[in-house]
Amino acid sequence: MTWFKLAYRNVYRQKKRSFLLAGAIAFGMLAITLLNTLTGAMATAVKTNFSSALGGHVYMTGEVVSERGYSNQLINRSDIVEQAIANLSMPVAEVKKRSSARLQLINNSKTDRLQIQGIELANEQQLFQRLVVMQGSLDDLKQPGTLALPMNKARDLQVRLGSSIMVKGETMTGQQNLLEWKVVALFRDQGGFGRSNGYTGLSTMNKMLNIPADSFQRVNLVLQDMQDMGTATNELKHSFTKLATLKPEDTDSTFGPMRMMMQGGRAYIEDPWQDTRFDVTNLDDVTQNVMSLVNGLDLVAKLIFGVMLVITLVGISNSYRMVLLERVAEIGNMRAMGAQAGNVFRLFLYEAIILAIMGIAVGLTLAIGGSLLIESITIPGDRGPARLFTVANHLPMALSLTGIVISAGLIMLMTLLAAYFPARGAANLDPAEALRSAT
Amino acid sequence: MPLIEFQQVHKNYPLGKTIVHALQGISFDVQEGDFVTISGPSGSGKSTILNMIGCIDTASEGEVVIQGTKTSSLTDKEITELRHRTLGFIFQNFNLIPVLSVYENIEFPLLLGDGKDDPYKSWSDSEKKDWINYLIKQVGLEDYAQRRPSALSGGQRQRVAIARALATKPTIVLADEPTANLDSVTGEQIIQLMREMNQNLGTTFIFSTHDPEVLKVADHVVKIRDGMVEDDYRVVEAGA
Ligand SMILES: Nc1ncnc2c1ncn2[C@@H]1O[C@H](COP(=O)(O)OP(=O)(O)OP(=O)(O)O)[C@@H](O)[C@H]1O
Ligand SMILES: [Mg+2]
Repeated sequence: MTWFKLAYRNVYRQKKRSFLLAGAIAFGMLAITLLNTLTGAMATAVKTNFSSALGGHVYMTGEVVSERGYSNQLINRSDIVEQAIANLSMPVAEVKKRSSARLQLINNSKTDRLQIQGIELANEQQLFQRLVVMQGSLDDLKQPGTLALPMNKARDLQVRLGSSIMVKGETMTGQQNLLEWKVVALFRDQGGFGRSNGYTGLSTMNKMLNIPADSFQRVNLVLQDMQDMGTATNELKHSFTKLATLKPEDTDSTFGPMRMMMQGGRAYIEDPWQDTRFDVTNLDDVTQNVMSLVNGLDLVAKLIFGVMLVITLVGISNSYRMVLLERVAEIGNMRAMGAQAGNVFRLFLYEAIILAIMGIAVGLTLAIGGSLLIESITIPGDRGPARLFTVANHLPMALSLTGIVISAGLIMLMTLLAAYFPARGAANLDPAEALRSAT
Repeated sequence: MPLIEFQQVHKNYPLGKTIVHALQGISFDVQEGDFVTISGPSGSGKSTILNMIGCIDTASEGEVVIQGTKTSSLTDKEITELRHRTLGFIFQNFNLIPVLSVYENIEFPLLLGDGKDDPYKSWSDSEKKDWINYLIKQVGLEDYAQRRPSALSGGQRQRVAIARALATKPTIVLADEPTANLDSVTGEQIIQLMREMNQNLGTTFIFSTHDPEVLKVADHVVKIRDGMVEDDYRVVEAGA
């Protein structure tokens, strides 16, 4: 027989009441764990989706000052890029050099605009995994003057696989350029989330931009571990500061990276730099706005949880006051037999701890089941939030151990707090009073 | 030196605007090994006296001295230790812990105490077990050791309480009307059992009653009336 065992038996004494209290604790644990997992899943989905739409986690862009003093988006020092990547302390999964432009596609009377990415086929595993090719093959992009289009664009333009299409755009320096490309692959449209892209070989795109065949405008890094994003960004910035020039911090940076990717910003440079001036951004910079939404949601959920926890706390505290009244004689009797005030105090706290452990265990079990259930639900829709907050039409629920430990700890602490005052009341009972109430 | 000395003990209870003079100068001694009855009509002050010996209540005036120690000079912690080491309690309504079995109820006092001067703290588990089983046998509950109190009769519950009061081998066992909730036959058996334990173990028993029949068994009778000692006598060779 130990005090802990006695406490355990006391918990079972009033089964209904204990069931309700543990149930309230379990519900709290369930709610907070599910909410945490849900917002975590949304955050993961947002990042995964952005990462695949933007083709990586960390983005390096470069600007070169032209002879006429304008800034052009171009990296002409691939040696510096390579060295900076080699200096990174974390493993890199993919290095993707790209050039891109928004081009006008013309097929007879049909015309449309599309962002075209010039890619190096060998380095684009992630893209190849993501694109669902319906006709043709992306491998054919190896041939110069070829193009892969989303299915719906091809339909709008009334082009078929194997037919040629006129492509109009501007060179890096601003001259009109018109080329004829052949459609070698059609893939399923990526749809509402992000923007539709067409793909061509890097050198084909460079020809449109009239820049050297082996140059590029940006490098996207896919890291083995997305968590390293921030460190990688800082390390790259550090390398570029040492090896070349780094673009000074943009004060209005929220949409900076997005804007940089969409337009080939061509500004007059008052005081030009040598070679390439680098800029490094990452997924976190890009997703900042969406994430603040998710975080807001998370905060609201936590506030609701907090209120719920306080209500539970008051309930537990009241129940224990009742328990105290019911056991006055018993406590007096224990004290008469030689139980110290501290023993009685701890007995009450043990009971609360046992209730909390039971509640937490049940709540956690339900939360695990619940999150598996939520994950198994197929969320239909290719557009809007359904697409943004899901990965392959599912919420990527992943329980976080830290989150669980923190909420379990918090619940435990609150339960102890709720039991503290009744427990102290029990400990401070005058044994004489207590025994008198028995007779 | 007497085991217990009451020296001109007064006890006043405030009751609304008036004061109840429950004890009005009580003096008597108890020797080690006594089988003492505190008798008297309802409201005479028997419970008050026992509570003072049990250090559950304190005197308003005068001194209660136990084993040479003035109890008024002790702290709450010291009093708890003294209660634990020296005293065993039996209550009118048994006061067993409902969630514990007969065995566990008897074992319970052995959990208590800071262990400094408690002889049983050095007992091995099997010694403890043997002792508890011995007590269970002494009170005749061998077949009920694993039952909860709710599954026992009143007499059986009071037997558990007696065994429990003896668990720590106390010097004194206090029993406030241990037979009040029992029928007369069972009550008599309980008194007999206490008497046997008093003789077998040498434990001092002090119990209150207003049943004159019980006086026959006692070897030391203290009669109380209106908070004063009416009579205090010893029966030589009681029961012989
Ligand atoms: N807490 C209290 N407050 C006020 N008066 C009290 C209190 N406790 C006891 N008394 C009074 O003190 C007197 C003695 O009470 P006590 O309980 O000692 O009597 P008793 O001999 O044990 O009676 P009974 O045989 O009914 O148990 C009674 O008049 C009682 O009303
Ligand atoms: Mg009484």
